[in-house]
Amino acid sequence: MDRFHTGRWTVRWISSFSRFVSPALLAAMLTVAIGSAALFVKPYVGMADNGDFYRILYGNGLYFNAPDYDGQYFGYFVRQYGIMQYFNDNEAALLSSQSLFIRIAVWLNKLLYSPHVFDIRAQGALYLALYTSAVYLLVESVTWKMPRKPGYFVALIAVFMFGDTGYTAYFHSFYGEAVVLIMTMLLAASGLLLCRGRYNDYAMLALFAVSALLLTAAKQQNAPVGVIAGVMGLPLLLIRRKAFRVTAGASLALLLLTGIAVYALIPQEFVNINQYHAMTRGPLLTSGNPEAALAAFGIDEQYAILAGSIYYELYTTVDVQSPILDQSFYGRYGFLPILGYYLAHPAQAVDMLQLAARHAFTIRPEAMGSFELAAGKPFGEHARFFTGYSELKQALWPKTIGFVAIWALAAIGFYAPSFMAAVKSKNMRAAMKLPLVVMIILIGLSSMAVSIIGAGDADLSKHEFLFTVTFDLILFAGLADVIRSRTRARERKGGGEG
Amino acid sequence: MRRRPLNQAVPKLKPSMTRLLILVISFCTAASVTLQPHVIQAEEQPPRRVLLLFDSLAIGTAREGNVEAMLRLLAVKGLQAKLQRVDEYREGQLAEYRGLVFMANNPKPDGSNARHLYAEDLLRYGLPYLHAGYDLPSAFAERLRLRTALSEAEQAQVTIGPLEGAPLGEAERMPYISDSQGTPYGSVAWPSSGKQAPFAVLEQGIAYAPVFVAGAASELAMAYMLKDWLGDSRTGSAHLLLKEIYPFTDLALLQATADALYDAGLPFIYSVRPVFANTDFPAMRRYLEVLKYAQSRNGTIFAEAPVVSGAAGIQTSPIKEKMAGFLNLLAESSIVPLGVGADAGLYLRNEGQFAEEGMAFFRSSALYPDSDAFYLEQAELNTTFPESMLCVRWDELEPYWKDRSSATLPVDVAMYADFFTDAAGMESALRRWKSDWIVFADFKKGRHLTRTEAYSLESSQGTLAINGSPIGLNDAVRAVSADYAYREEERKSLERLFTVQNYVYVTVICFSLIVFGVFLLIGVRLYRRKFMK
Amino acid sequence: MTIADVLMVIAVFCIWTLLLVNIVLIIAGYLYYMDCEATPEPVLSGEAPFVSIMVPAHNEGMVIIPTVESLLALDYPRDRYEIIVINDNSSDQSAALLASLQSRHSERNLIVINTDAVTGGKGKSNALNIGFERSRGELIAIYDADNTPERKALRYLVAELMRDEGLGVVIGKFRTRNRDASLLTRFINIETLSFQWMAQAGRWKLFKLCTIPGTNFVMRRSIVTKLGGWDVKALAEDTEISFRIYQMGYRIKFQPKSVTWEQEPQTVKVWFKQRTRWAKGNIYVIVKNIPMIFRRRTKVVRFDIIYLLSIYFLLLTSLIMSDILLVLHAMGLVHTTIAGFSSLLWTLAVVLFIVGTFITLTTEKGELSLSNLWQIALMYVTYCQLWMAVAAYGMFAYFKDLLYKREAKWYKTERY
Repeated sequence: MDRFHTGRWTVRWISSFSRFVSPALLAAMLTVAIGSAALFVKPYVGMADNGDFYRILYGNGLYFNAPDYDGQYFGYFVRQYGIMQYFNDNEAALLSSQSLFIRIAVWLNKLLYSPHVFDIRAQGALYLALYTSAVYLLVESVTWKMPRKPGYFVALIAVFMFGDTGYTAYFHSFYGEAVVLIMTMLLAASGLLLCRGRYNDYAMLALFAVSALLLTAAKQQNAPVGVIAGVMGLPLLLIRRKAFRVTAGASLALLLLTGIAVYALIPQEFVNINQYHAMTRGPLLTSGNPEAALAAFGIDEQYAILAGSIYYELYTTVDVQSPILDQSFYGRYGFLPILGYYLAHPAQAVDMLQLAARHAFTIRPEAMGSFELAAGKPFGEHARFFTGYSELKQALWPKTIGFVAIWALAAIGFYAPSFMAAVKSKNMRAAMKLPLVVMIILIGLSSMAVSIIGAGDADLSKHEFLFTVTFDLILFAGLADVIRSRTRARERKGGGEG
Repeated sequence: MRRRPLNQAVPKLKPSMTRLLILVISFCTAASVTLQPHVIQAEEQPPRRVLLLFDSLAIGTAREGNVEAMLRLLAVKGLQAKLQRVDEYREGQLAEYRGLVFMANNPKPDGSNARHLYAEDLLRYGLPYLHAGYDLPSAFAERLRLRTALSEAEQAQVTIGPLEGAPLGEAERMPYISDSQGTPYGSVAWPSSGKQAPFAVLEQGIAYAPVFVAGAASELAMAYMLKDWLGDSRTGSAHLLLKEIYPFTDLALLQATADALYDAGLPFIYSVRPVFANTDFPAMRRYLEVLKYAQSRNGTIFAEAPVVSGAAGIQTSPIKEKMAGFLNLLAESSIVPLGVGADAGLYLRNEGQFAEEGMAFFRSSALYPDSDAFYLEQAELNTTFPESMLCVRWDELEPYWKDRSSATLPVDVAMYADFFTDAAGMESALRRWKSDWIVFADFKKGRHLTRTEAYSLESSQGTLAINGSPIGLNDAVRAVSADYAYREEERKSLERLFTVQNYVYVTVICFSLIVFGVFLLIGVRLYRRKFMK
Repeated sequence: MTIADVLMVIAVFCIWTLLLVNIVLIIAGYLYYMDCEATPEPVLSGEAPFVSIMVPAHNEGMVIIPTVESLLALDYPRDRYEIIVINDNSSDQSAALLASLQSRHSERNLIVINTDAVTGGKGKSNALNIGFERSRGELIAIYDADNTPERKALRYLVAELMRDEGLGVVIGKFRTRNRDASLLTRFINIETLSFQWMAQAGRWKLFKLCTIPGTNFVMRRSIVTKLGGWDVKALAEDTEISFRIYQMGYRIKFQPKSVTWEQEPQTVKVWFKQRTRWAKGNIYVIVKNIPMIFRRRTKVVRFDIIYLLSIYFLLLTSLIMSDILLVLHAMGLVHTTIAGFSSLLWTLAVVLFIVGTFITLTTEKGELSLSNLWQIALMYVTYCQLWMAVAAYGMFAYFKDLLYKREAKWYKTERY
């Protein structure tokens, strides 16, 4: 008797659960739970500074106040920083969209915690909240109108992939990757939701445009994103007429302009190290004859000595900031000349892309530690909590450019038939899906290309973060769509026989 | 040491005494032979250790950096030094040292205990004492019968040795020696008020210099006094040193400069940056050819220390192997690096045991004053370079170098400049060097030794030798062919078969395409005729 | 030299050789086309021989009526031909529809044989045998149930056959009726045209050889009798018969002026099933006839068998192998050091493929268009890969059947 009651109660609980908790909601709840466990439960997880923090920190009114900050580079992440109380002469006008989020976090911190000390958990909370909403929208876009069971399965996949600590650890750091992650996901989700007509079109269009803008403005390397989104988003114009078309057109134009502006205007802190590597770990590395490569740029052939050299070596022949390099080396090449060189030497371009592919599947770079000094872990220790996906990803996928090509072609081939069918039946909304997928793929590939051109093969895993995110997004969308079509096929078969 | 010839006049002695005398003499001779160190190190004694104390680093004042300057001077003199704040002085510490230098940079000392401590120990151990700066402790001031006064706030000028009227410090009130017993060194003058005072005085091991700043003139003046304070009998000469030479410096300019300096009769030193990778590239060989050429043009080669990358993070790197590799490479190309050039900071801070690991091959060093202040507060300098040079910027001293060619220098001085960026710069510098009164000496003329595990590189009286065999200096620059297999080409399987096969296929396909083209033309015509009627 | 290298060498060699063979065939085929354009239409002289047209049908209710109606409308003396529809074990409305059609044309030679699972249901070959028993013509013509032949189709075929005693069979051309239904049908259209103008026309020009396409052909009765009917076990009964006809010393000629229009599969799933069936059947036939290569008497057929053999086995395995190796190489799992990969060569080969195929299309009205050109290019990457999948699956299915000794079943092509 008791078992019968409990059984019925369980069934009722399950049915009300599935009625009220959509897969998207489930995914969101789990993401919040797992993310919070990683970020807000001791030992806190974050990401150590590799030297890049000070620029964005000082530009936004924060400063290092940890007693031994220098000793914690690479090994430990620092949780607390000082908030500048007086005039900050380093204050740069919004360096990038990341500054926006930092300032909001600082404001929250001042409100709730302390006006003098900034605890990075405020930023972590802000990012986690945004990220959860992004996950919610993403899962909703693929599971809307899907039966609950496969829907929950998809939600679990989403949590496994995107709840990974390799991703969420960035929220406790001042790397721009946190913004990149959230905005790319929102971009994909809003695009997919537009395709399915789930929410109000204008709202989704606004989300699409804003996330693309913030993504583009996050760092100078993301300039191509604006251009790609602006161009590949053109089919959006066909979804609806009149007012929507005008708004969409304006947004896309704005994105295009932002992309160009970001390239031209964001002060490229002349990062000499990247400039150095762009040549020594780029054309000079892959060329069979470095002197010929140098001649192509009009640089003295003696610089062949620097071929393959990494500036992170302790003892080097020349200081990367030295005037002799400024004069006769750096001034002779830039982003466009190197791009031109790779286009003219496709074999070397392929070699470089192979190198890029080798690091493209890392979510969190090797070198940075995850814990605070106070947590008592060894220097540079990585967090292991819920890192199944990041570890799997790194171990599983073949890290070759051929595989990247296969992935891109497979994704396009997968969505092509539905695209053709949609075009035939004049369903422009559904036809938007393929351009959206292509857009995301191109964004990922552009990140790869920009990384190689901008800094050769040095520091690739950090520079290619955008690729690794887009790879996961496409993989997830593809998996979800496979599950959806199989469920539909099964339903149809079942319906036919019945 | 020369053996006393036995046939010198000896007083007539009894036979047994003669035998005893012979025995004693032979024993002494034998002993002196075995105890005699290697001929090239004839003047060497075990390095002396000196304690350097300071009360303030004088940051922001004219004396800023004088602690580091003093450390450099001590290094040039081949001394081991320990740098320490005077507050941290422990009683009895001086027992391990042969002398004390105190940089009194604080015009208002707080009268702490430490000063008494060291003064007591000094007197107890009877060690030589050098005091540079304010307030010589009374015990020593009495010895020197010292009376000091404060000058007006105007620019002082120092004259010593070949220098005349070189600016000393800033235009501010500074102490000067109005009266004292003891040997005076140099003279400091305040032209507007006409006052004159010695730069420093020395009496029985106690030396006092009221004003010592970091700067070429001040350092050279201090060197004069240090020489006597240490009882050093060696003198030195001036050398011309060019640094900032990289493998990608304009090689033609390097060659032209060597030629020009040779034609002007000016010996010089090239301090060249090391290369640790890609050393078999043609570019490297061209570099080495030019260096060899410079060597044959009365040039001396110094190996410069590598750049320490600030971006390296926590890393260790085997600097010993790397430098040894570079030196061996030079040796294999018949280039004899006689010394090491390095920023003083590298040596003084000794991060990662740089001095012991990377510089221990050399006996001669040229330590360049660092452009970036680094406020060293303590140091233990145990690696010494017995035949080093004091480095001063050439254009800091040259304007004040008057015609005193007879004056000898207390220490080898390297007057350095960065290598030129273009021919015009070289020519204008050359004009000045030819016309000024500084006589540059050839570093090769002295005895120098650089040693790695594989090679022993030395110079003596103008000849260079590698592992004992002298090298000829008449090589012209050889042309280096640019053919170099940068990469081992992967052995391609069946290459010929495939190339021929591909060729055949391409021909066949092209032929077929032509045939198809013809068909296409016919076909279109046929089509039109048939279907478009 | 690793194993991967060796495999690549073999694969590359096979692919290129077959490509060359196909070039030769295209040239030959096109020359034959020019010949045909130059010669006038074949004319029936004397009395028209009596022709029995057989139409095997299984659940073809949707298409059988238009087929029979176009057969009834043929330009051939009405009393000199009969139409025999073998409605084999159909569970749809075919019987009723045919019956009503019969009643409407009661004066014509229209025979409908309805069989059930007992009397029939053993496949197309068996249906043909049943129809043959009822037939009385000295010539047998066969049309598929979804074909709508042109008015003069039969006339040309018969005229051509009667002109030459050495001909055992004359085959006509088939075109795609639902060409514009989907991208797949566009591809099939291109494929069928290029196949006929290359393989059929080319082989006739060079070796006086063709294979029976299963529809729109005319055959001498004596041959059927001599052969003892159709092989019930064979899934690809047309290829089987062709070989046996060669063995008898007759030739099979291609007469492109005789045209029939047929319905091709419109979805990939249906197409896949149909092609797998053909592939399996062809493999069966080839395997059965391999010994013929070694018999001197059948010299003329040797080429055909070798050709088919190479297409199905060698080319297929080579293409599959090289594709797999390419993918593995792209994923970094396998390493080949073959020097020969010249991008220029492969680009030229692709161009060759496109141009060659396009040439075969210029023979037909409405096919000389730019859209065809890019469709051929698209075909190269999509359709051809699918074909490889079909052939591979067919091979796999064949071996599976061999292993489990399954019986040949007649799978029907879905109609729309």
